Amino acid sequence: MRTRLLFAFLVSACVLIAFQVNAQEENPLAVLERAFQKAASKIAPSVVSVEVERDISKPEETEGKEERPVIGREVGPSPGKYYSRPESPASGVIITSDGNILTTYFNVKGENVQKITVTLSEGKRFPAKIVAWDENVDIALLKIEAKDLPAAKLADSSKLQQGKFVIAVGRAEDRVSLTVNTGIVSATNRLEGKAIQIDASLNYGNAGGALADIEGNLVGIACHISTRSQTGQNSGVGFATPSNKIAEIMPDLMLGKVIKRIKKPFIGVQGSEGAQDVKGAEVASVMPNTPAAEAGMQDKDVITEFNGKKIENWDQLRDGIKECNVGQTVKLKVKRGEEEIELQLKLGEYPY
Amino acid sequence: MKLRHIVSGVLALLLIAGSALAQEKDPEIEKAKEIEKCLVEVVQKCHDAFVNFGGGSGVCISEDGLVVTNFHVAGRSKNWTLKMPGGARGKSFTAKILWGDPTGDIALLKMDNKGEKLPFVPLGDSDAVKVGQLVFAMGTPFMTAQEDSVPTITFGAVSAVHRYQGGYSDAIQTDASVNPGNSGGPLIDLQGRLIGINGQIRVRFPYRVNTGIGLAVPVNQIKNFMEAFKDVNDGRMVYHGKINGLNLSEKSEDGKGARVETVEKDSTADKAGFKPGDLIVKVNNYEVFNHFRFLGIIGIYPEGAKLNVTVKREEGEKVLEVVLDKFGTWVRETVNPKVAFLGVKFSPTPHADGVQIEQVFPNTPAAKAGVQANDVITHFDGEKVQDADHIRRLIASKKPGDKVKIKVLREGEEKEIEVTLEERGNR
Repeated sequence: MRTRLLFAFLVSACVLIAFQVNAQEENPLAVLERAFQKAASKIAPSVVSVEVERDISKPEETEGKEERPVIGREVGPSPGKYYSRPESPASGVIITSDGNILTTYFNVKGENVQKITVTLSEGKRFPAKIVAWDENVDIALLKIEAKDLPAAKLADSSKLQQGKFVIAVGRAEDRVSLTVNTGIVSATNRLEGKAIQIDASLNYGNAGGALADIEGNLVGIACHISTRSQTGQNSGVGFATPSNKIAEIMPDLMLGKVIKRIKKPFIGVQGSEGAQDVKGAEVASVMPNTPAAEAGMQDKDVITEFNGKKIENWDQLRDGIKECNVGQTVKLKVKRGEEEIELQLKLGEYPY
Repeated sequence: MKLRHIVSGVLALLLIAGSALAQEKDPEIEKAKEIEKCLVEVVQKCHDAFVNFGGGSGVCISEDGLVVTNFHVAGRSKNWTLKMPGGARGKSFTAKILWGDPTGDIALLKMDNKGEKLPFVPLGDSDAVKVGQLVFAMGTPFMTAQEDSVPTITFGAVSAVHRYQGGYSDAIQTDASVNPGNSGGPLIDLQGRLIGINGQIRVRFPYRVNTGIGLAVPVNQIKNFMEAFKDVNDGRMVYHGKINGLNLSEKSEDGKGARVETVEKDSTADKAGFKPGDLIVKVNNYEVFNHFRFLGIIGIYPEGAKLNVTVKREEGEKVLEVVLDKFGTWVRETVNPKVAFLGVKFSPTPHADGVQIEQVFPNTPAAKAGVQANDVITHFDGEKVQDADHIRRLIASKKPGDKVKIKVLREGEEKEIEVTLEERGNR
């Protein structure tokens, strides 16, 4: 009896000492590692799988032609197709305990959508319906008939700073396994304030999934992968819709209000900016299938006049485009080598 | 029995107390936030020194507005309007190129700071950089900084140092995401010091997008050039160096050095005292482990640099002093479509035996004749090839349709190939 008591005492003493030693000599990286794990486990129950069945015999007609992400299609020139939507499921985030779920609008848009299924973290499946969406920030609200769900806690995204740690949390193709990618905030205010930029890997299945801070609170909904690779592979330049933007639009979405895209004029060229030896707006590249391409504009053309106004630099061209309407036809002058050419161009709609 | 109850009771209490604490503030998460703060603070410190070149990046390195970027970003124009973070559209500054280094892919510019003290990133020491060290990159990948000139920050580690690859002599390799537009932007250590200029992404497929292999020009190379050309401010091209008449063997020396094969009579190498059979083991304080590393070290110095080269001979080690000759470089000019054309890209890095081919373009005279990438052209039409500049002049002296015999080294074997030159056209 005595030995047993002594033994029990010794064991508990050892446990206490071990705890203390651990606390003193902890490798900071191990602390960081566990903080990432805790953050992931905290947000994990709120991250769901979103599966969309489409009638593939019908094209997705909403955009007229190809499927593409709703915002931030690509910040740079795109050499080929927009990234296409794979068949595997994407992700979503539970936003209220009574079954409101957010995902990206890109995941669920299109008139050929037949059925949406949400799989909760423990594997339970629910049919979901689309309540509303906001085309400007690429967010859709889904509803499932369920109660007492673990809703994500929204963080204040205005507190984000460049260099802060983030985790992108999504559901894998099996709809249950969690995927966690770590990274930092690359920039807090991109695409005119509509997106946080991160360097954590984002791949297709992450679309609609959670972006959380080191405390496991929701700072954004992962929405876009910027890449020039036609395979849609991650580039380390990813975007998420900030939580404060989400909080702002939630009341409207809950009422079933669809927020349509604000149309902005677009010509479809990438600038070669800054070189003072060039007078005008030098075009680095003309994006395919854009008004500029249709008007016959070529790489290295220098735009010297737009809609009757002299253009000396890119800021002036941007201002000139902003003053026009989508669909308006404008005249412009370009310098191509030694030649001066007049072109006519019908302004299109900005892709994000 | 009683004691046992007490012990387990105390343990249970401790556990409850622990979990109650965790609900308030988790000390591990607080610690993680402290680590996070270190990164946030160094990013904030450097952030405002970012320089936006439109499609490319740069960094301010002095309060009076010196800017470093890649030559492939700034080389196409002598005068620039650059932007730094500040306000909704960034702050504009006019700038001009002081000098350009196309071989080392670096350009130095001076912004007109109008007496204002500008934020800058101080120069670090790339020789002190260790593999595994944490670093971050600032830039405008995919023109992300277009709206407000606020740079994109990407975080990662130093994957390798002293990479002799892709025309870079002594590059720092990083896994921090680097994409088109990051070119010319800084790679910075956790103390907020510049360690390199991001300039290349190594890719296997023809999409220029981050692969996890980014290459940066080391800051010590930039410092060597800034020191040598501190009085140059007219935007001219500056040159790298080489040792004329020194021919190295490509045979492995088991990581012990670079073997001198031949020394041309009355050449710089001869006058400096190099002898065939010498094993070069050091250049200044850099260990030489093979002939590529030797070329890589030489590649960080400008023409005219005075180097101490340590060689091993039977009678012991000897330190030879040598002043680098000018290594010709080729600056792209308007190309006449009627000129003779071979169809290869030459490596800008000096090669002891001639000039190495980095790439053979399809459907060109070189490709048709069977010239391969990595071949070293030693002779062109009977003449010994000095460097890339030299062979370009030799090609230019020919006419389209001329048949020319070239000698190449391929995996140590000498081959003779006959090429029929063609018109360049719009290629």
